[in-house]
Amino acid sequence: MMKISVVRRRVARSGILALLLVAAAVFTLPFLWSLSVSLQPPGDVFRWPMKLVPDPFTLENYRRLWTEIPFARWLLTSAGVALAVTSANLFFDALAGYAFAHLRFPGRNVLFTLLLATLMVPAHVTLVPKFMLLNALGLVNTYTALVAPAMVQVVGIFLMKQFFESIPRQMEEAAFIDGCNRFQVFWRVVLPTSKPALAALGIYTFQGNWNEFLWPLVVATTSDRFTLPVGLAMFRYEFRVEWTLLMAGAVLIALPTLIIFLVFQRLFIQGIATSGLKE
Amino acid sequence: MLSKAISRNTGPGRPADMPERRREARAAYFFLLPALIVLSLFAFSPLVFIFVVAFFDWNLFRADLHWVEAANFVELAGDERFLTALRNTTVYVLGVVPAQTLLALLLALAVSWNIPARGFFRAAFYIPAITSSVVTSIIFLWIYSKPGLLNYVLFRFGIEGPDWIGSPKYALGAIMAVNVWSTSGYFMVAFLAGLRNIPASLYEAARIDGAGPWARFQYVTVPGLKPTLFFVVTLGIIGTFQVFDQIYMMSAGGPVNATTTLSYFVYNSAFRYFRFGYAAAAVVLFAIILFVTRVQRRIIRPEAP
Amino acid sequence: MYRSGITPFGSIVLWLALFLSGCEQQDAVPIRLTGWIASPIEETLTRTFVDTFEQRHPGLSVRYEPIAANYMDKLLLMLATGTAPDVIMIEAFWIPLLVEYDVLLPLDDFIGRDPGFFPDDFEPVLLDAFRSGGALYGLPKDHSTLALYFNPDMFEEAGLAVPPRNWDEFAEFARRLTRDTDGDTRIDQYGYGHAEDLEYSLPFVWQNGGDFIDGRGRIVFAEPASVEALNFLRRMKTGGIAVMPSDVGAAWNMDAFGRRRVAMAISGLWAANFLNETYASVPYRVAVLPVGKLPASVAFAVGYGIPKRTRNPELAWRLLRYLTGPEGGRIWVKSDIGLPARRSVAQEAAIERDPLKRVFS
Repeated sequence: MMKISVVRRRVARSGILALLLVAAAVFTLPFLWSLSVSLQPPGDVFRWPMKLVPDPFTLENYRRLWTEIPFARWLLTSAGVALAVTSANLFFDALAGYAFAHLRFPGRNVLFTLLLATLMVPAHVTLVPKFMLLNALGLVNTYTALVAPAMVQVVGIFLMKQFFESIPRQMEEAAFIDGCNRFQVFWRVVLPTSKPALAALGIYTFQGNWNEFLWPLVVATTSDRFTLPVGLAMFRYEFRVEWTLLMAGAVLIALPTLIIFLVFQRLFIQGIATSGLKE
Repeated sequence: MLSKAISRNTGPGRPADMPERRREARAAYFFLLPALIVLSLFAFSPLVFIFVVAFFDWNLFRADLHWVEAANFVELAGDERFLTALRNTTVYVLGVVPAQTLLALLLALAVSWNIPARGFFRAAFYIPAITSSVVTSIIFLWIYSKPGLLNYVLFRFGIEGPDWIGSPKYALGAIMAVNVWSTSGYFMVAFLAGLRNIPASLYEAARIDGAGPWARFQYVTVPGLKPTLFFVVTLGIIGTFQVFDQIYMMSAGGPVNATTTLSYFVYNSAFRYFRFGYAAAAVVLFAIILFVTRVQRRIIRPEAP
Repeated sequence: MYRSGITPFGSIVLWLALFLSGCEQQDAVPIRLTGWIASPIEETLTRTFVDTFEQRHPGLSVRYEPIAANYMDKLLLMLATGTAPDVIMIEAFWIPLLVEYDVLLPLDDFIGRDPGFFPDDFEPVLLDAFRSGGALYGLPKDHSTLALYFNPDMFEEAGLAVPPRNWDEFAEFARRLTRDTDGDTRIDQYGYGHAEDLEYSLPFVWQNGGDFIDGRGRIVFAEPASVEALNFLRRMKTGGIAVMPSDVGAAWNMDAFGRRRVAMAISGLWAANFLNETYASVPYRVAVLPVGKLPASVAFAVGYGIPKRTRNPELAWRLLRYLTGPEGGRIWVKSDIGLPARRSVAQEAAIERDPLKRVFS
């Protein structure tokens, strides 16, 4: 009996592994293709059959990105904005999410429903009142305009609320007995146990803000306030798109988000190893 | 759905004396203060703005505003394109959300398994989420084109495939598939965090009780993932309601409005036909429809989560 | 209206805003200029332009703020909030709309008291395109009509020597040019690649005596002459001798031409530049459009205007008159996507002797 189940498990495992490999190929192919195009000289990049190994190989596109446009400047703006937005969200969203999850106060349900309602409005519609507001405040084309509207996100509050709800309250009770106030409980007890949720929030916020296109496009008017996605759109001319440059830019834009993901995702691993899911 | 999730956590254990309650409420408002300041400016006031504008004939420019009462709503009710957009959006949400949620859950479970190179797979599945939507759209346009990859594969099986994006019959489905592809890895992250939140002791207890892998999944994992599931489904619904980029880049709402979704309709009304009041009315009307269907469901099935 | 929507919140944060934005330095106010970026050469020309303008006008500075994408969305938003640049790039097609919204400044007064500007030097049709209700709301920078691109190699293989002169020849040539070139029984070269956008069907409609747009600027399809023209195109498509770009996996019609999937396509001067750079090995020639009941083509005119709410109309005019004036207008000669709007400039550049460019004038 034992032996059969071991064999069966092995077969099942290699089956799953094979399936995962195929899935991984399907999921990464477009990215690999853009990587390949970014390493080709300009020309017909859409030839058939698709070539994944660039031939001839060149780093010229990356060199041009670095020299022909203020790439470093836009990178810095993007990084500054995304980091400011991410840290603001990690703190404020967690605070608000905790209030919704663990504290009782009048108007909680109404307020939360209102929060979810704001998510239903298409971004193009909110663009107009948001722009008018910032214009009334004289903030168009400032860094404040890039950061302020994204400092708190309903999605983040929602995410944190959902996770805090699944945290047992016994720990908090103990801390109360030890004489901590509510903020201390939140800061010293709740947050340290919420690392996976904070990791997910960090990944989501950073990625969402890093790739944001419409808002910075509208609110930044001079090139010294551009973020990377807006700056790189300059290579999409009306009648001609510099595909190889654009792809090099797409690859470079994706890298920081990938790094953030790899850094934060380590926080998932530990837990899963002890969660008993492993066979 | 909401009230249930909230009420569960008002749990017992704390005395309901007034000073304590007041202190708790005060703490809650203090915790919420920064969020409320930012959201009032950039989320609530646009909401109010849209609700008001929906009753006006406003196009961003006209200084003299016309209060048109419910004319925008009446016109919407008879607007063939709005009804098509509603239908397409419904199909889109109902098709994409279950598929992406299920796939995201499967991916999260698979990479939580004790398999080699878990980190690699995790990153690989996340890559569509970070691939720029321009790149994604170009590639899938090419895959779906008449002489593209999909038809090449079908041809091998003796099937003559259509021009997928060019055909009113298949265009919406084709874009839905792209959406599932690009968001399932994204939601996998939420499930990974959710899985991590399930206490290991529960699995141990289940194992001691003699539960097999399937039983453990059913009685430990699934209940433990409920808050995450609620989050993923809600965000999935919102994301699919708002779907715009792929439609804008791949099909521009065509052919013959086959892929015109609500957000695309709203964009067109506001920025192509310059009828901002009409666009706002479409958003409000849609919210009302959504609200009514939810209330209706609750009346029919009071126990529904 | 929007003011009442934001005032409650606005007042709360107004003092906050003073903190955040109160430290902006006040230089000599630059004249702001915006436009979309049509091609790399266009971008370079615009920047050259700004430099020479600043050299000629000491004390004046120009801030060029190109918009990389969603040009109309952002422009309208800025026009509506009074934040638009002082000089904006516009297409002649937009004039009726922008005039209806009352966001452009009429230029007649400026021109009237500017003896050195010579408005008569512009092609009259181009100037008319920027006119509405008797007033002039923009000045053209360059233009291009649509013409027929054809692949001479494919023509030779099909035994054709000259481009089609009328609709019958057009359909007949397209039929002869539709071929299976590699012998696998599947068609891989089509006669004509038709662009999806409305503007590319318009010449056929006009040539047939029809129109798309009625007196109120609305799109109408019901006119028999228009329907007949569209049916002509539809028959070519259903007959398998014309294709849309997506049918052959191309991004747009000249992309299909560059991939040798179609032998004929209609486009403007900008396509020549696209072919030269992206498909250098593909030969092409250009001819005037085949003629229907009457000859007609569509002209794309691009120019500049001044928003009504600009803070400094006089300075804006100085930039605009340089952009489109006899002197600055010369810079656009080097443009790879349009022909100069001024006749004196076109003459000086000998456009009528340029075998390629003269087809588009």
